[in-house]
Amino acid sequence: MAGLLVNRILRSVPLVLLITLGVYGLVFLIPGDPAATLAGDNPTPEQIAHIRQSLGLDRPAVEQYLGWLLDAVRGQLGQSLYTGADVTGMILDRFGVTAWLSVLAVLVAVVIGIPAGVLAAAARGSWIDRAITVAVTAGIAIPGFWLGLMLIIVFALQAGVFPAGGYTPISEDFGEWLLHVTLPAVTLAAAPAAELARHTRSAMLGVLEQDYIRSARAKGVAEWAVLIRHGLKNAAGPVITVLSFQAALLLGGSVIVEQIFGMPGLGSLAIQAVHDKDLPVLQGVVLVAALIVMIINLLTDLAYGFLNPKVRAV
Amino acid sequence: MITNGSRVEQPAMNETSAPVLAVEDLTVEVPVDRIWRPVVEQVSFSVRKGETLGLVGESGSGKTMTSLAVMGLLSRNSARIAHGSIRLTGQELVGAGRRQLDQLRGDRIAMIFQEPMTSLNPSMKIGEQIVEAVRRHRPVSRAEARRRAVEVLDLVGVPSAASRVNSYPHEFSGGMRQRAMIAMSLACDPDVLIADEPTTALDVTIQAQILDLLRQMRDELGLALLFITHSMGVVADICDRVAVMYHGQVVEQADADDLFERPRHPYTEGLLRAMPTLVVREGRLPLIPGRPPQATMRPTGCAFSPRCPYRIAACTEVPPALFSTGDTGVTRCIRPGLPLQGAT
Ligand SMILES: Nc1ncnc2c1ncn2[C@@H]1O[C@H](COP(=O)(O)OP(=O)(O)O)[C@@H](O)[C@H]1O
Ligand SMILES: [Mg+2]
Repeated sequence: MAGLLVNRILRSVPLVLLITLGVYGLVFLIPGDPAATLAGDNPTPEQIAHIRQSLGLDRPAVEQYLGWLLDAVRGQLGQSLYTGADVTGMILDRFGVTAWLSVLAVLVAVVIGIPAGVLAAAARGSWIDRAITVAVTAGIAIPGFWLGLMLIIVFALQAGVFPAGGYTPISEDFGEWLLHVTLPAVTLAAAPAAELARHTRSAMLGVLEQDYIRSARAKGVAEWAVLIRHGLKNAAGPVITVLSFQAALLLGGSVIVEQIFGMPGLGSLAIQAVHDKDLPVLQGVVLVAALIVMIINLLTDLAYGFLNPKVRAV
Repeated sequence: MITNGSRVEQPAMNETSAPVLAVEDLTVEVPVDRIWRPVVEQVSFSVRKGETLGLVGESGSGKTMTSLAVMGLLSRNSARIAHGSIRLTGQELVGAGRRQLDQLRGDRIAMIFQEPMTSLNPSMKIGEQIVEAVRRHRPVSRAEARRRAVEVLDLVGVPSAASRVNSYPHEFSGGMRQRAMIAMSLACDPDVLIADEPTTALDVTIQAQILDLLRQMRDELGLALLFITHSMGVVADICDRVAVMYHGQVVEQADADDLFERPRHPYTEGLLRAMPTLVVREGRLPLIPGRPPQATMRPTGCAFSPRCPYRIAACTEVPPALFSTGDTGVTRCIRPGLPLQGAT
C-alpha cells in the first residue's frame, strides 16, 4: 500500500510540472504587451515598467518560469497587482471557505447519492426505482445557479430558516457556519448526488447479477449485507471514478455558488482577479485548484488499491 | 482416484428414516410475455441422511431451477413457485419469509454451484467468506470462526489451510475454488447439500477429485446430498437414487442400480446409451436425435414423444401420468413394460 502511494506520487511529478507550465503560461495568453494590458486604463509608463519588473516580464521566458516555479515551491506566489497584498496569504484566507464548502457538498452528495443508487438497484423496476430515476434526471438537468436562487427564495427569504448569504468561519461558530453553508452545499451537491446515484445504480445492477451474490444469499447472509458487503464493495470502482470526477467538477461549481451566496472563497477570489486583471492572484488560484484536483486523483488511485486486491498486489 | 466400491453402506435404519429433504409436486413458473409458464412441473423427490439423489437431465431440463427453488433463491421477478411443497426436516419452505430462509440457508441446507471461478466474492478473502457464514449462524467470536474456517478448508483438502485462509479467490485455481466453496457450504455442518453440476466446469482429473471429496464428505458428515448433473457417468459414480428430468418433469425415478440395469423410460435409455463408455464400446455416438421442446411450451402429449423411438399414437394425445415400477421406482411413460436396454 505504501509502495502504491510512493509510486503514484512519483508518477504525478511530470503532471505537476505540466500544470505549473500551463498556469505560468496564462501570462502569454494576454494579447499585446501584458504589462500594458495588466496596468489597466490610462497607465503611466512608470506603472507599466513596475508591472513588467515585478512579474519579471523583462527576463527571458524560461528564466521567468523557473523563477516563478522556485518561488511557488517555497510558497511564494507574488503580490497582488491591485492591492499589493501577498497572494499566498490571500489564498490561505479564502481556502478554508471553499474547502469546507466542497467537503460538505461531497459528503452530502455521497450520503444521498450512493444509498439512493443502491436502493434503486435493489428495488429495480419498482416505484422506488422510478422515483429515484426521476429525481436523478432532475438533479442532473437543473442548473446550479437556478437551484441556488430557488433555495434562497424558499428557505432563506420565505421560510427564514437559513441566511440568504454571507459566511461565518467554522472556527468562530460551528452553528452559524453550518447555517451559512447548508444551502450552498446542497446547491453544489445536487448534480454530483444525481450522477452518483445513477452510476451506483447501474454498477450495482451489474454486480447483483453475479454468481457470488447468489452464493452470499445461499449461505444465509442478510439482504442488507448482501447489498453492501458483497454488492457495493464490488461496485465501488466505477462509483469512485464518478465521485472523483464529480469532486473535481465541484470545484468549478463552487465559483458560481460562492458568487450567488456571497461567500468569500477561492471562487469569488478568482472572479475578482479576472475582473481586476490581477494575474498573480489568478495564477495562484488556478495552481491551487490544479493541485487539489491532482490530490483527488491520487486519493482515487489509493481507493482503487484499497478496494481491489489485484491492484494492491501490483 | 475414483473408487466405486468405497461408499460406506448406510445403516439399515436410513431406509426407513424420514427424509431430510422432501420435495412434493413442485411447479416453478417463469414469465413469458407477462404470462407465467411452468419450466419445472410436478417434481417430487426426497433425500435421506447419508443418501445421494442424482438429478440428471440435459441442459435446460430445469435442474437448476429446481435447486434454486429448494434454496429459496429464485429471483422474485423472474421466477416463482406456483405450487408444491418443500420440507426440510419437516419444516415447510414454500412461502417461508426471507428471515426464516436466511436462518436455514448456510446452516441446515447449503449449496455449491457450477462455476467455481465466479461463485466466490473476488474482493473478500476466502477465510472471511467462510467466517461470514459461520458467524451468521453461530454465536462465536471472530477468532473461533477463523479457526473453523481453517478447519473446514483443511477438511476439504486445501493444502496449508492456515495460510490459505488469507488468500483471495483469484489466487486459487478452479479446483481449489470449488474446494473452498465446499468448505464454505459445510462450515455450519448442514443436513442437506445441493451440488449443482459442481464438476462440469473443471478438468477431468479435478472432476474426479471433487467427486471423491463430495462422496467422502457425505459419508463422514452424513449429508443428504442432492447431486445435479447432466452426465450419467457421474450419476453411476456417486448416486444412490436417480431422478431423471426431461422438459421440467421427472420422467423416471429409481434406485441407481435398478435404473442402470433396467431403465423404464425411453429417455433414460437414451441417456444411458450416450454414456462415453458405451460410445467407446459400440464405436458410434448414440445421441438422442432431436431436441426437447422449448421449456415454456407444453406439448399435448408426452414431451419426449417427438424424439421417442417407441412412440405410439396414444403418446401424443394426453400427457402421461406417473406409473409405479417395482418398489420405489416411477416412470412417466404409458408403456412402462417396454424391454429397454440398460447399461450393464
Ligand atoms: N426467466 C426465464 N424466462 C424464460 N425461460 C426461462 C427463464 N429462466 C429459465 N428459463 C428456462 O428454464 C429452463 C430450465 O433452466 P435450468 O433450470 O437452468 O436448466 P438446467 O439447469 O437443467 O440446465 C431452461 O430451458 C431455461 O431456458
Ligand atoms: Mg443448470
